[in-house]
Amino acid sequence: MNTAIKIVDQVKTEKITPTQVVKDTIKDIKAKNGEVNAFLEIFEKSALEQAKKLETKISKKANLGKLAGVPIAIKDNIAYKGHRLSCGSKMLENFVSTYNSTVVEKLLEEDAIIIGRTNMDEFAMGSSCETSAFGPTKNPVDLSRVSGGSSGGSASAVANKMVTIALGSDTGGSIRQPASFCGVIGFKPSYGKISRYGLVAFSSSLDQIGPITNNIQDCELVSSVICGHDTKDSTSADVSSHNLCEPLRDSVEHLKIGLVKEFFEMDGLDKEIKTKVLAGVEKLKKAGAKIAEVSLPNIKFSPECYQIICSSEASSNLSRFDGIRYGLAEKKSDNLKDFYKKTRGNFGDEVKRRLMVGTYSLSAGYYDEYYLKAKKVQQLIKKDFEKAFKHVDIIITPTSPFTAFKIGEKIDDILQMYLCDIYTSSVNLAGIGAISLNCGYDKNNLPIGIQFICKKFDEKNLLNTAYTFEKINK
Amino acid sequence: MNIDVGDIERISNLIGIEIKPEELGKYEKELAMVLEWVNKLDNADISKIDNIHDDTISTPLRKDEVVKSEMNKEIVKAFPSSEKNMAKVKKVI
Repeated sequence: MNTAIKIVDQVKTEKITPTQVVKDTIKDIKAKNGEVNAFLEIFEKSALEQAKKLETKISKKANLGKLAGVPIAIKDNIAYKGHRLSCGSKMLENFVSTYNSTVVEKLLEEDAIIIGRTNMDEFAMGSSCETSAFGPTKNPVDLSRVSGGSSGGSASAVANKMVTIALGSDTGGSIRQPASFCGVIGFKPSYGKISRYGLVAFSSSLDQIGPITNNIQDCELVSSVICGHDTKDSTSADVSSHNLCEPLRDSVEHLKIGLVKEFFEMDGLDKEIKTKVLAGVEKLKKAGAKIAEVSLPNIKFSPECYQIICSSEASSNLSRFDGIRYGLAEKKSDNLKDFYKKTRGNFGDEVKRRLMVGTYSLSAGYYDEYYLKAKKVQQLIKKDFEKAFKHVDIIITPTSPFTAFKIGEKIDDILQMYLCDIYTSSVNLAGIGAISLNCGYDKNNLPIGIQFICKKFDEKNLLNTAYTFEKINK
Repeated sequence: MNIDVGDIERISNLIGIEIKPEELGKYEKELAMVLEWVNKLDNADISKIDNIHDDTISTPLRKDEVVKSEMNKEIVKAFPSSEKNMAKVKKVI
């Protein structure tokens, strides 16, 4: 299987030219995309230009970047100057980014090639990639099933071997859950680890960019490039060291792993998933890790808490889509208020619903009852994690209570869809890091994800554990 | 949760979103259902929580200095409607 590390090696040793890498990748994407709808657009012209630039560098024997020649896909909510960004929405269908996001700047500095933008749930609101205005992304493992969401396009593209690395964003599980559904790796670092500058905001206090890859080494490589303090994002953490863990350590000796009692006893957790995740834990135990049970008594409130907070923040963040500064504008209106209403009436159903819930939660008379209460429950969840991490280094849970479901199966069941985040949203609420890896398959041969959670900014431990697991789970 | 069509009209007006008359009933039902669901939070004991802010995070501030932006033209170009380098809007009154 091709990996980003192999591509860099081949480009650096001149076994293959960057142009050839790009041409092969584009050919591959074009051949496979009709089936899965993972890419909304291939940036063919700029990718080939980028490859040419890199070839000039190679001919001059200049130092090449850490991601030299690696085609990388970005989720459709990450800004790449001069390229379209639609957030999976009709509202921004023809919008062209006016600047580069910090992550894109960092990738380009290390000679990566931005190959295209991937499909997503509209404004990242969804867990199946079905709320995209441009059709659902299918799961390459079984084309009748969803890819998961909201970063479904990125997960599907990596699982379908169209690219080795794709960036996603995770507000309540939007990197980890699609990665789990498609059988790949999805990494959501601690809040503040990666700059959000140039990421279209959904829920600013929870959003975090992260990579989706096929192996931990590629995940570590790209994460080490895109993480770090950024003065353009005031919530970016100014921690002294953002280095991840080069080289990765494949040892879990002395590691204490916590199993969340409440998570494994939860109604609705598929039995096969429970068995496979616990079998994964057993493998880590055999490799030397110590296992302990931890209790997170308030974790059961996380889906409801998450919905209130993310919807409230979204209702504020999405007010910027007014048809005046950018995006869709309904010309046939009599006055400004009418113009706003008609223009914003083009948001999809799920977005409208969340804007309503959020606005209601923040409105006079209901603030204390909804938003303030949810923010207080968020503190309880954070404290639960802080307490648990006094006893263990890593917490293990399933990533999702079920495997990839059929397209159309849950789209009309709003609350069922919200429960997709049951194991993931608490991580965003606590601002900590987590990663999802494949730990096996169910009877339908659908991938099962195992989630490792770390304390804030302990990504080094997290990736080392994931690297060990990847090796012993083969 | 008691939500009626009037609430949906009030909220959609606050958000600035047109909801077609035939859709009001659907959103009334859905909003009521979601609000009923989140009422589960009533079971959480929040009596000892008085601070909702994260004191462990500090906000690193930028230096207070003028930074020249090169993107003005690009931003104006993105306006759906513009005149003399300014965004054009419909009449307010």
